[in-house]
Amino acid sequence: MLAVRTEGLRKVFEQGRARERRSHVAVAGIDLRIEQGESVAFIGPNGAGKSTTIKMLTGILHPTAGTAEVLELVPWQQRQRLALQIGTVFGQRSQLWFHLPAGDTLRLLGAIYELPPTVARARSRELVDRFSLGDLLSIPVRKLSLGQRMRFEIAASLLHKPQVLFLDEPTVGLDVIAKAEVREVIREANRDGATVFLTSHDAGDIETIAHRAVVIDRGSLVFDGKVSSLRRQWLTDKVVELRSEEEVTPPQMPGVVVEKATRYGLRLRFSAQDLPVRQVVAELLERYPVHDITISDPPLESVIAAIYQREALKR
Amino acid sequence: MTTLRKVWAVSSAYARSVWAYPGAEALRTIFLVFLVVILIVFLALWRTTYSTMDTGSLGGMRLPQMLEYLAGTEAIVLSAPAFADRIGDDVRTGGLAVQLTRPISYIAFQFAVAAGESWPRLALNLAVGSLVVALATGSVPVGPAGILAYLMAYVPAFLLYASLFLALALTSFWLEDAWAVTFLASRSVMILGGLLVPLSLFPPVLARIAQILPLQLMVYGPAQQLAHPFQDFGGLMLQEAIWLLVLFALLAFIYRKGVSALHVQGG
Repeated sequence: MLAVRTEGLRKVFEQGRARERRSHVAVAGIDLRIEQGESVAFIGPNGAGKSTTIKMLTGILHPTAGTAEVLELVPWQQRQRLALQIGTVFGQRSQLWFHLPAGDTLRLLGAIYELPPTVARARSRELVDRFSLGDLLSIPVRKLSLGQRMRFEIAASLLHKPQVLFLDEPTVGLDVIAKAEVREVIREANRDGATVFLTSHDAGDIETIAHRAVVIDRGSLVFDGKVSSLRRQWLTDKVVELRSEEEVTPPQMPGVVVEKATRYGLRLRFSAQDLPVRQVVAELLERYPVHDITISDPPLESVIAAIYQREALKR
Repeated sequence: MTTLRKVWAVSSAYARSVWAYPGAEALRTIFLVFLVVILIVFLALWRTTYSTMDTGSLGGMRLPQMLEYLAGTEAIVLSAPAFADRIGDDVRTGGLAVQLTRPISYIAFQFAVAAGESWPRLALNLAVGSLVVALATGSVPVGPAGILAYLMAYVPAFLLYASLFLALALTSFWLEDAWAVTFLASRSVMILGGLLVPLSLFPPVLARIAQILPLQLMVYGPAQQLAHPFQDFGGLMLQEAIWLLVLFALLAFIYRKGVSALHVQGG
């Protein structure tokens, strides 16, 4: 059974009043197949159609055309049945009840997700321990810090052991430590078999959580492959970091950009499509008494920035 | 059955939240002071009216009954659920997205929240109001039968009120702010529902208009049971049931239209 399957999924919003009505194509007909247990980052610039797609896959929005199935259910026709099997986190919107103590929220969600009380209690305890939430259970949600609230949000979304997790910017606004915790818990849920469908602008989320990346822009898929190959396809640049045993003078090499130069070190960047890596490295080894040298791909942020920039230039 | 269990869980959680939130308690206190002030002002007004007209009964009610009626109507109106803000916020901020991904009907959830918030407040308002009336008049104008009839008539009255105001609040799907619509409706309930004056004392034409509309069933209907327990009770319940069907249908229609046209913001 596939976790997610879409064919020609399309959403057009009608905007403006009758006379000046304009159509805005938010999702232009996407085909997607996600196996159970996969961890997929669904990325794209603002307005690309990510959230609209998630809303169709969770049954909130009806598509204009095309079909979609999540766990073999049609989301907008079988929303409540599907809701029992999926978990959602909308990073900028809370699913908790602000006036209630956080512990009561978990209890209430247990009832809404039809968990027998004993199962709900055991599962709550497990998540509370996992997220170190024990001291916060009696505090009203509105008094929690953003990081504490997000930990509760994720715990709440996992309470009923969903088969598919839809995460829309789950680490937005969190500090580094809270981000790391949230990512680890999502990875753990994925290891336990949950399919993860993640949208995020945070390259760290994508790198640590997802194995597969699907890039959407202006409603259409522009990339679907491994996160690691995302770099290769979208940014062929390589970064060379070199430490010399003697003082270095930055090299004048055609096609090579000096990103940083210190007394004994250099960081260079070049396109592997234009210059063979072998040639650049050989030239550097010849010029400098190299103590250490590393060749790496640029960080994912650069890849995402390059995608967004390239797509913006096309417009 | 499953839905009822979920509704109960939501209602009881929200009932607890009424007391868990200090701000809400402060608001409650203000409402209770307001209730007491209204009752004292109307005690003076009705006392003068009864003595000026030199009568022991007006509209079939003695002075203590009239004040208990007022306590009953005020208890209902001051505990009424406020849908417009909540649903307007949900639609404007896109919070509706979260609500719709839960395995509970949005309408059932809103009814459950409203009941959880309103019913404890109604009990408190009625208790305080009755105490004020008893202290002010030196008599206990309502017995267990009156309270029972009031509460039995209140449940469908609450569902009527909730259906109407939920339907109006759902116009946020198109208007994005249903405050003006619900404000007008709530004032209509106050005037034509018999908040301050029972329908039996309305001018004949206005009384006939009020009798046709469902608004009097939401306030006057249950409150007059305090003065005349189980009088015309079957007729009242029948009227409430018929209007419930009408308002449920209206609510379902608006909800279906709204959801199909939904554009949750923040996409």
